[in-house]
Amino acid sequence: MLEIKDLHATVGKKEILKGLSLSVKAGEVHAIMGPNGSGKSTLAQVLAGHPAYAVTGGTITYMGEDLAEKSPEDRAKEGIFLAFQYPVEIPGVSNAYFLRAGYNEIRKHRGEPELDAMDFNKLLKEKSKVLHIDESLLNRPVNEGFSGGEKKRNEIFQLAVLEPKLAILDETDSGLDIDALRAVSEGVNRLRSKDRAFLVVTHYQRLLNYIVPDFVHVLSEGRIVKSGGKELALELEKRGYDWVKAPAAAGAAR
Amino acid sequence: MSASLAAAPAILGGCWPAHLDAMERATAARGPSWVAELRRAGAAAFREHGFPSTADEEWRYTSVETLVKTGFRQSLAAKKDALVANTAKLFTFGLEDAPRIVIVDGFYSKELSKLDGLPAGVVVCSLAEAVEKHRALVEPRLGRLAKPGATAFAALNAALFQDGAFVHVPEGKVVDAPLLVLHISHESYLASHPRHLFALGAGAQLSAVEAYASPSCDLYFTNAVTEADLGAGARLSSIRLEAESGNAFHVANTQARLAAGAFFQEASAVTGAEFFRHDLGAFLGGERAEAVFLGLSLASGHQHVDHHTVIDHAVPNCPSREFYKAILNGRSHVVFNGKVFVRQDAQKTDAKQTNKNLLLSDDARVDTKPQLEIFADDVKCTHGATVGQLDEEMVYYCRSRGLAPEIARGILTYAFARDVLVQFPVPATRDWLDRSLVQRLLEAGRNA
Ligand SMILES: Nc1ncnc2c1ncn2[C@@H]1O[C@H](COP(=O)(O)OP(=O)(O)OP(=O)(O)O)[C@@H](O)[C@H]1O
Ligand SMILES: [Mg+2]
Repeated sequence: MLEIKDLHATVGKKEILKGLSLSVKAGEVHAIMGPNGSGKSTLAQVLAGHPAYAVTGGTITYMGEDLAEKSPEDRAKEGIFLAFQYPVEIPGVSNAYFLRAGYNEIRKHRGEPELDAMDFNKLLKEKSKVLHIDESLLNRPVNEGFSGGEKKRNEIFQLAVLEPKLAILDETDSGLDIDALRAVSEGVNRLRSKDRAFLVVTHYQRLLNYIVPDFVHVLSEGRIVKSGGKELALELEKRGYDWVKAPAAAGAAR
Repeated sequence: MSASLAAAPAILGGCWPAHLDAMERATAARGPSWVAELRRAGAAAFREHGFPSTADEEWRYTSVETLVKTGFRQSLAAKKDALVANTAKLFTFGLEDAPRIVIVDGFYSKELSKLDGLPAGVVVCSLAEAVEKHRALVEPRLGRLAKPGATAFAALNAALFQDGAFVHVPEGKVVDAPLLVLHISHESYLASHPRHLFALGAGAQLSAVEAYASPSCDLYFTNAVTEADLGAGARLSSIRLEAESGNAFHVANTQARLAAGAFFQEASAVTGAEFFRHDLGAFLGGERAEAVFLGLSLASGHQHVDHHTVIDHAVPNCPSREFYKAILNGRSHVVFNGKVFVRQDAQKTDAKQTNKNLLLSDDARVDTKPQLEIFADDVKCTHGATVGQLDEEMVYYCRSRGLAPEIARGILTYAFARDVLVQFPVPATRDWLDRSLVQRLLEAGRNA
């Protein structure tokens, strides 16, 4: 589904990703861990198409097509979804209106009929029950005045509504209380399917107890320096990052 | 006499002394002496001070030069016209069945007004009629809140007004249906000076829409004054609609006086007029009186939109809040000046002022200035002003959910406006505004 080869990316004049390679197949869950500033969010934003990030080398192939030239909205329509580390507040636009606009654009792209406000509200209500989202959040302006945890939950709620093929979760677990973490994880697990892949960026092994990954990668200084199974996360929890960082500088990843 | 004067050709340049002379001749023989006194005071103030220049701090960003140079005719008698009658029906602003009082080119129109169904004891009539029939209510207020010498325009209005709406809600009465006070400008190159007076007794409640509209795209000049006197615990919530011709000049002065516990809200929506200046003031004269000023302006082309507000905290424990937003396109120019006085006695004042401007064009210009003059020490006063473009992170966030950038920009522009629009009173008119602006806002943002 997603094939990243020797990816180099810059923001401003600074190179952040320095030869990153990663391969994700449909149905898989990949966890990405790594120290602060190593480039995890950069990878997520590059995949979503943030205009401030420039791909300067390597390739990203998604569903057999080159991603680099595509606009963020085309990527969204083709099934890429990023749950932001820092969700953006949009005063004056209700969550429901915002989601319906995006949802219908995606439906149009797939050649499916658009949903009117009434049918869409029904859908929202169902999804909000599953994720234990307070219904009042639906009519409030997008993320405005939401608590940190509510914003993260709202991202997963959007994910559940938009049903992407490739879902990228950037530190969705930070800021969530224990119940919310469980609710969000259950929501994600329910969405796991053989057609859908997840890229889960996290600092904490705890999340991976709930969302059990197929692979764990360590990102350091813009490269993947170690990959393994779910046990790798446990080992990182115990030993920190120093032991994986050192050999990385010398050798290649994966 | 009056008919021939009304039809006289425009005198270019200094038309105003002639207007004052004509009015003096026309009214010398009629009207009570206390009204004549007000007119004299207005005329004297205008003759003494004339129009302000941009050297005057209050007019620094708003030049009246073009307005002064334009020759306007003065109407000294009401005219009847089928076109007005037909278009007046269209100006409902979501209030199809509400009581309405209609003023055309400064004159009360009995035919277009609909004043039945008001609760017993509530008076809604023309100001001219009220001067005759309700002297005890009118005399202590008329010209006492919006003083004839306040500005050149208030002076001209005091000297030249013909008519307007008078509304009295007696003590304890609650008027459920919103009242539409509609001014229609109809004749080109005409100057009209409508004057409205609201008097609410203790505990009285009223919601109103004060609208200025025109069926044409003519050039004319509306110079309005509104006074609102609120007794203890009275509540007046109003929307002010500027929906005039895109070539019109509109100057207005609104002054409210609040007794203890009274609540006054004015939400202003400006979409029309080439030149707009509104001086809005609230005097909080009794404890726990509260003033809320809201504003949403959509300026494009060469429009000039200026809101000058004054909130005067004279006593302790009064909250006030101002929230003004403007969306600018083309070469438009928006001015906001928010003055807040907190007098020495006005401890525990809680005043908040926010002004946000969205620039959709590089050629548009905003001048915004808070002016807090605080003489008490235990107060909470905040102000904030922003001038900016659409937030690109917001645009990107929308795009990441599948929205094309131009759609995202349209939605964000609409959202910018909605943020204040949802706080407007008079739900029927608020919804009408929302419906009538949505398409315009979506497109304004789309093309940004
Ligand atoms: N707009 C920018 N301009 C300059 N540097 C930037 C910009 N955005 C990110 N960076 C830098 O890029 C590096 C990688 O940032 P990134 O957000 O990808 O890290 P991260 O791995 O997600 O870290 P964290 O775990 O703290 O979220 C950091 O050093 C950061 O300061
Ligand atoms: Mg990050």
